[in-house]
Amino acid sequence: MTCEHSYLSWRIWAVYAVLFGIAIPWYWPAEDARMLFGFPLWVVVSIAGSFGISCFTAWLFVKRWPADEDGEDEA
Amino acid sequence: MIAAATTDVIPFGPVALGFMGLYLLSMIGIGWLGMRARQENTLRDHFIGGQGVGFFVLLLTLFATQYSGNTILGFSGKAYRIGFAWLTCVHFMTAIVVTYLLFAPELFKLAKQHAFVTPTDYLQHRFNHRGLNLLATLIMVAALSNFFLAQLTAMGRAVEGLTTLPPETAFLWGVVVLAGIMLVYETMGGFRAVAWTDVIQGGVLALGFAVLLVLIFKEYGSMEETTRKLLATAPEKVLPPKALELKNWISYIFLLGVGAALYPQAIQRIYAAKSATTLRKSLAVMAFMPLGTALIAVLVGVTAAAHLAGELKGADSDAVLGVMLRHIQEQSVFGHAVVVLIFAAVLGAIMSTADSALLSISSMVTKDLYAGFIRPNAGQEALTRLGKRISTLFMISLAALAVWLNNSGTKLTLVELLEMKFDMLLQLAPAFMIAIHWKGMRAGPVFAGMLIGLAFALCFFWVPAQGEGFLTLLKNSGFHPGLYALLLNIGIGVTGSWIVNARSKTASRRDPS
Repeated sequence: MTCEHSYLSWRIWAVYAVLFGIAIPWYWPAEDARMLFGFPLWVVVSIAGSFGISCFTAWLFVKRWPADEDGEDEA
Repeated sequence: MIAAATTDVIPFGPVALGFMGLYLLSMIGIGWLGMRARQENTLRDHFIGGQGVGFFVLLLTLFATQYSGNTILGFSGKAYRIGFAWLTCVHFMTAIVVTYLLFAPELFKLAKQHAFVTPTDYLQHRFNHRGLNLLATLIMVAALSNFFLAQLTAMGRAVEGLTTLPPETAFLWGVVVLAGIMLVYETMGGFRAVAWTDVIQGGVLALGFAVLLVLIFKEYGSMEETTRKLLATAPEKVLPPKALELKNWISYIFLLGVGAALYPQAIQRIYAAKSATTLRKSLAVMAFMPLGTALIAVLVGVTAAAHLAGELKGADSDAVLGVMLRHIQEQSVFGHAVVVLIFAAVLGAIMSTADSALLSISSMVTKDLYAGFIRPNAGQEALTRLGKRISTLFMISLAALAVWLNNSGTKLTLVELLEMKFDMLLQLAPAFMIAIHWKGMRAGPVFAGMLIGLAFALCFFWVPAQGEGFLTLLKNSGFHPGLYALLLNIGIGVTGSWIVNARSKTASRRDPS
């Protein structure tokens, strides 16, 4: 890894805003009782959103660590 | 002010108790191995493990430290009370890992360059302000002491249901024996012993969660059955959360996401990573942990709400897992064995969190308070020796307090307890997360912001819940007071720094020499 990344990029936090926006169930009608896989539908969507947050975060840590650390990796 | 759940399982027989005994004794063995692995008699070796630990150990110590007895007992209890809406906990546990993006890479780099031992070492390096060092250390020690006390209480409660002894006697013995074992291995092996025992405790904890998931479906039927039953009996636990709950949801994400990332023991695990690769891989895996732990605790609570409705109330609802385990235990010998395993996981979760908290308290009192303010020239060996004595002193004092509080009968649920310290820890955020990126952040304004933010957060304890005052309005807004205090804190820190920087620029223009 040679290029330098920053976790302060607005793009990263815009993606988080969208993912948390999906995961937090603010947009569901109060009486929505639909089910999927035995769970309330809103719960399935919320868990899926949370899984998306986990995947994005893991990707950032593995592929977008901000500095070229390889030289001092085994400090 | 402490409460935790009794396990309510059938008292263990000699085989099960023997297994638990061996499990606990193996930790002392690990402490001995940690002592043998010691490279030098220094603070960094004792509190951080010298050059640090590799991926596997770092991952399991991060996991075991972050997921306490509360994750299993408190989270399932709250899901029992409010239903699926407690999916909040999956989000805030994930948010903790997300928050590390804001400071872990830079902090790790600095920690390696300057051999940091405590979080205050970073503050000293960045600000060189004694008042700030003292305030931040006191906040961290206070928050951790509270947390450690809760873990000790959880230990006593966990043991209460296991033996045929009277509850108060069992509580006392539970605290004394388990705290004693922790103290022995921690004093012998320091961070290595704590991290290596975390490998066992974290492994058993992960296994316990997996078994728990299978058990709840086997014992109580499919999720569809549970959801339909709950929809008929308590629809508010199934339907989407209402506006106030949603505000609370968002508030929890910020409060715990940021607050728990600033746990001193978590920061010290960033320091303890052997390399950047080790750290980033461990954090990447940690991002998925809430789905295999907190989510399972929610499913346990929701299942109990459907099938054990009305059996538990208030603080007692944290015992919901114990009630379920008792049902499982009564089914078969296999069920009994599985409950022993889950119980070992609960104990492991409590002990692994408690030992890390104790080591962290001891490191801060020794290095930041004693060496920082009383004897700056003390030698490394003397300080390490003192650190061990401080661990012992804290352990004895807080264990005695836990027993006294238990006997006095004061109760509060585990989840409510958690909230108190995060309002305090949150006030460290500007110093760690903004100042690490913005070189213009100045010590004085950061100190003022932290102090005023802390005072503002704590004053909400005395704000009445009823009435029309502004603070009462904030208190009932659905957001935690610590978040309002953090906004004030950031405002003071950032604005103050701008003013100080602008003044120094003007002064240097007037007097270029």
